Amino acid sequence: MASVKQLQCPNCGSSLSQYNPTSQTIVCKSCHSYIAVGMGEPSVLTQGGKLDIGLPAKPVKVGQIGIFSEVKCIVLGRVEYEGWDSEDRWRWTEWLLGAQDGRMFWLSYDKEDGFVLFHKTRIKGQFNPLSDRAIPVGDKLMAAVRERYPAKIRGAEGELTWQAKAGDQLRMVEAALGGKHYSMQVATDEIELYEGVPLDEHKVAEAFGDKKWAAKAKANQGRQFIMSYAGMFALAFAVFSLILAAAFWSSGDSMLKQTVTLDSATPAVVIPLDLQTVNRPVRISTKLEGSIPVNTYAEVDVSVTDPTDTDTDIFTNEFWYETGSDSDGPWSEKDYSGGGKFVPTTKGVHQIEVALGEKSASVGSVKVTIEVYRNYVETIWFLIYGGLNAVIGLVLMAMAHPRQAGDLLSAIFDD
Amino acid sequence: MMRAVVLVVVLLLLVSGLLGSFYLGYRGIGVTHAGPSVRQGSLGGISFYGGGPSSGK
Repeated sequence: MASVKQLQCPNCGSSLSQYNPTSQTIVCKSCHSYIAVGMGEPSVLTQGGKLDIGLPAKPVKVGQIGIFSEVKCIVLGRVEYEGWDSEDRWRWTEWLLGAQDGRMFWLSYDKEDGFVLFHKTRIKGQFNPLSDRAIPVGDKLMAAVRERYPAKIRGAEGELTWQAKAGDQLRMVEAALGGKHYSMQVATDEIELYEGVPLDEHKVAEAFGDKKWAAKAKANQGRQFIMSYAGMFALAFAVFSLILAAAFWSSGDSMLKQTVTLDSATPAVVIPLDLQTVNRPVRISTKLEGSIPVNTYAEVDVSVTDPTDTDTDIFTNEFWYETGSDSDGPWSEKDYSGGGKFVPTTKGVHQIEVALGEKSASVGSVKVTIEVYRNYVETIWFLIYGGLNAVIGLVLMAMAHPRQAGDLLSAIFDD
Repeated sequence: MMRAVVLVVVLLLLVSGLLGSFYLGYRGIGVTHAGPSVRQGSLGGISFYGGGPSSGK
């Protein structure tokens, strides 16, 4: 594509090629000065220094030709931006594309949204960029604002359609509606709105005729697709396993219910239990009937003796009743229920011993209801499986869609 | 095609994980076993059942 004007850098004297007649800034390739062009003679906006913007995040070069929807475009310039909020800083790149028919486009890339092709549009109503929650973008169409943040130009190369230099600050307002992105740039003297459509990276690579990049991007997209769906599946299974854990939490068939009174005269009671199914968990629940004196506790030990006379401690429950007072006033808390599980390995009559613990003398006597359930399903494995799946699912989603995963995490943790 | 195969494998892994969790819970793996550990089998004198009883109470 032929340049429309040949100029000379007022700082170093190098020649400057201007391709777009409406450009207002050209960055000198030799001295990296920001040169104001347009009306009158070129003048230095910022004197040259070291070009500090580095290579672009993706292999799109100034001067490269691309074909987007059969429209031939030349990459006229590149701007590197940095945005920030109270917690984070992030960067993105925008390339200015000049179409053969005179239209201008901005190709934007950041890690979260990928590529978006923007064109300038008009704001279709009143909008306060500092406070309004939606941008009027059409007849009764309002794009919901999703982010508002300050940003600065880190650096640029090539041509720009406004007078700009490294370090210039602006405010960004980002909105979305119906799959379209809206980006508003608010500078001290003007507001510009751009409407954009997301582009797959491999399509951008194909538009620039870079087959190697296109193949790599396509493979990446395939991986992203798999990670995204695998992540969703993992999260769905995590939820399902947690539902199963809740469903099995109090599972089992009740086979015995008995209330026993324990005191210093009768510190232990033995309950026979005929178990004909082995290697299936048995759940025992305990509940203290009545009450114990304030600020005391009672320990109840439950053990089982199997038909081979092997004793096994199953669990110890501590029932307690505490009162006190703090800055919110008097409080009272108690725990009168508990339980445990065991797996019988021998068929036959098992002796369940319920005994008052050694440290329970101060409570006098306690009345405890024991209920035994057979064919229980232990839920800890569902919880472990669900927890692992939730972590794996979130990691996969974060790798596939950082913004969505971020939104999901903030929805979970910010509430 | 490749994507579908990978996702089917992922689904199979997830389903088998869920069934595995159910099996472990159904058999009470990780729960205290009441009875002589020798019944669970041993290998070279080393019990390979982890949830042995506390005997000699």
